[in-house]
Amino acid sequence: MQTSAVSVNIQAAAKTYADGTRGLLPTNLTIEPAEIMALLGPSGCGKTTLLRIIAGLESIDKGGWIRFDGRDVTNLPVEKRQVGMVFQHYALFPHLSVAANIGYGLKVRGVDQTRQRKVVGDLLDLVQLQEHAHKRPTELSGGQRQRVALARAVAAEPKVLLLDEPLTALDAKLKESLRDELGQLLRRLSITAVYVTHDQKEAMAIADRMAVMKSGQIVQLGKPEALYRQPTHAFVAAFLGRVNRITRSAEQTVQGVLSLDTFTIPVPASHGSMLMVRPEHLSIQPPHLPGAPGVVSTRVFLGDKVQLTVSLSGQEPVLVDCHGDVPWQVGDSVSIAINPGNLLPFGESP
Amino acid sequence: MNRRTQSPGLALITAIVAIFMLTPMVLSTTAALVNNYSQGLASGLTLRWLDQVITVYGQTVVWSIAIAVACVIGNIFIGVPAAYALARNPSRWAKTFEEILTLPVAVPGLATGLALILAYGTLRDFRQSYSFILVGHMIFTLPFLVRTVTAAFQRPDLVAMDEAAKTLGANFRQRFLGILVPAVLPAIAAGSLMVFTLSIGEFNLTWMLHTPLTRTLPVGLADSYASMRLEVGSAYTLVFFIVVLPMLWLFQWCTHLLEKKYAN
Repeated sequence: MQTSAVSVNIQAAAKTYADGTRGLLPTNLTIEPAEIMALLGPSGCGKTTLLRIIAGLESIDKGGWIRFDGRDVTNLPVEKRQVGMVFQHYALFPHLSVAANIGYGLKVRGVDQTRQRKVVGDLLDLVQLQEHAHKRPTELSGGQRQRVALARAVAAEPKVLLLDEPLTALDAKLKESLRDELGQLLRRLSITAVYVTHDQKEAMAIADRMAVMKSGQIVQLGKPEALYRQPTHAFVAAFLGRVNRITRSAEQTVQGVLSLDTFTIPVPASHGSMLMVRPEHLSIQPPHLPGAPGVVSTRVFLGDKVQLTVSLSGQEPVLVDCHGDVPWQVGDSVSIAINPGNLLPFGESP
Repeated sequence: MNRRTQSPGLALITAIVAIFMLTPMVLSTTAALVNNYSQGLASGLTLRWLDQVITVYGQTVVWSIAIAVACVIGNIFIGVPAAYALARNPSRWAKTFEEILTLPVAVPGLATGLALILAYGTLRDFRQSYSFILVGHMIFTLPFLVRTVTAAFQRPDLVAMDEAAKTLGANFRQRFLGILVPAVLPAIAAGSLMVFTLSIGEFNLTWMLHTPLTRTLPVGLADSYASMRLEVGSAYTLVFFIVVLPMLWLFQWCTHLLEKKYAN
């Protein structure tokens, strides 16, 4: 239904609350037309604050500005900002039917009845809720309510669609199937969207780009794959997936090597003394093959794969993801192969 | 699932309490229907006391209901916006205001009545009309409505609904009347029921505020107990039951329906 998507440009947007706490440090962010941008981070990182700032539900400190397609909306009240928002618990209007909920934005804007009916009908088709049109929200399942909330948010053709943890209220299993469905729906709408979540899988599955946030600021911004493979901060690496931390001595760092017992590989000094590697990037092999020698200390069978914990001398135990049919049991001696290319490259910070 | 309680001891206690509470009601209503209370049923049944009550005090019943209904309507108009303002205003002033609002509940009705007479007693037309009593009732019952509705407005889902309507482009009037008030309707109904009940039975304050020409049911009741036969007073009680209880039940039933309809 969207004819032309808009860009969102945020410059030096910061939020200081009345009591002096800083919800958001000065932040710059540009979102391309029709792009789905995820704001990802732990609770209290400022992601919801940034979303509410874009919506106009929070004002920003002096000096910052927000533009939609070049037009300054910094001081435009939320009612006039033409954003669509999907709330964490949907915030559907309980006394209105599904159809009336979806049409609410059109009704308050004075769109004529015929057009209202047409748009609501189209959206009911899109979210596959035609037969529920006259039900009340309380009669719907969690997944259906979430679709009503989405349809309601896009009905008045907002410039930007904002989603605040839209899958949080659902149970884990439903969440996964709806995640993909929601991603497809958003692409079909081809609307500029900002998606707030604390679930990295959700963000990676849905977003074109994501901004990982911590303590009121964006730590790293980029495509999900790039962030996962080339995090520039230890925080990003650890937040997006599991990581093993391997330390090396100052001497090894200067020499540009990593030595684990008798096993030595070249690792540039620029990687710093704290190295990180993901469990799926370590491979486990019989003890006579070249690699870091270790002993299996736990074995967790997960069906399609087995997760082993291996104790290395002088290091924290490392996690290794293996194929479901590996023979290793607790107490077995093994050797762990590390490809230097898989070590996550960032500087000193642990 | 529906297993009845099987403790005979508990059943006995329940029966005793129920009988203790019902006996005065039964005696009082019987007294209203016998020719002579001291002779009991032997003196024969009659409707003449009821007839006398309706002739002498009929107007008080009508006025009591009118005042209670007006009190509910007036308090909804004042109380619902006040509740919204209090719910959205986190300042200390709002807290203080709410405390002051609740004061008439704690202060004896006689004192409130006296204060009203001191302040407005000289406005003769006002003082001698039923609106003087109505004002007293509204002051006394307003906090019950405001408290209930404020709590409803403060619910996080209501705050989110308000924001959702804002993002959809609704102005304040559209949000308030179209979304928020319907969403707190069960609370408004529950608060109104409280207001109606309190107003119908209010005696303390009304006794101070009434004039010989402006009497409500409870004031009339006191008058009949003091100056007429016991049978007339009892007949008055019976009239109260017959008129007021069905209204309360109807009101309660409506509240219940609303709660079911808007349950989230």
